[in-house]
Amino acid sequence: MQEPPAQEKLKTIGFDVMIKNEVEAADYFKSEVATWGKMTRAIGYSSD
Amino acid sequence: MLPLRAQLHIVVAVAAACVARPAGAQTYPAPNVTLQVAFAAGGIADVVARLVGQKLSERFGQAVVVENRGGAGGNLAAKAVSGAAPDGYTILATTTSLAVNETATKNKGFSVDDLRAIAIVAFSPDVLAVHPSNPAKDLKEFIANGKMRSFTYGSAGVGTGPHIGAECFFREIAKVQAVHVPFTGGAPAVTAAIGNHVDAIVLTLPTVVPSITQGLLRGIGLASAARNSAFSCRRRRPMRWWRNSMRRSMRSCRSRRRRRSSRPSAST
Repeated sequence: MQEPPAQEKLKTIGFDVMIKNEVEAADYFKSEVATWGKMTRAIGYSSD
Repeated sequence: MLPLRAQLHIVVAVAAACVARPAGAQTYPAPNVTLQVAFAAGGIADVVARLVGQKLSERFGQAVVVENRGGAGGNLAAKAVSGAAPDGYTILATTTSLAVNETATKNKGFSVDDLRAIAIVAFSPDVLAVHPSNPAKDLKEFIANGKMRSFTYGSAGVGTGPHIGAECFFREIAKVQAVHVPFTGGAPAVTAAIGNHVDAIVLTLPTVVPSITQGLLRGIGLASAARNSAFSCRRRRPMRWWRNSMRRSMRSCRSRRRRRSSRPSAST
């Protein structure tokens, strides 16, 4: 995904490329789970 | 203070027990790798996942099978991959929904701890768009109008990232009364906004880009500190950027303060 043609394809549809190695991706995802958890609880949403 | 996220991330993950370099790594991948997409074919997650699959296939020198396993807000595929053999041959391509569902859906049969994110390949901000006849020309005006009367906004469904992000923004930050209208996907929400059946829509940018560029909708807020590249090269800016709205808002606050301070006091 680091190749310019792949990045260009993503950009044309509204995405930006995010390059993270495995450790960074795992850490980032953990922080995403925490953040979305706080937001989900703040609005009281549950699908159960 | 409540953290606010309003971006979709495309996450690639494998079963948590999968080791970084499995035994027989020299021969990996021997059989075909399966990339399970957590959403239906043709959607934005699918488009990115197929691009990832194509690149993996070129790298591996053999086919990567892309399977769409949509359902339960992405939980079906995530559950399947979390329970797959941890050999690196079954990979999940999903979205921010995996992070949302961890809190929102307790009875899904797996936890995010059963999966390991190995790459975040792309992200896209949420966008707030309105019908061109809407009097609000930017986010500031839209919120100002929203403080005078409640409004409706459509999303791709209850529990999607844009729904959660928009609720947090409208309720906790903008302090306006917004009535959520969930649709069964991004496309019907866009159709409703074009038909002026809802006051606004909040969706991930790729879903709305074609309608904005065609002038069928007006983008008035982008949940990003920077311009998105989908619009950056256009001569006429179809969107009034959130950041610029905030700058204008801060400028007008500063000039009001200056006017107040330079005004002669009542006692003189």
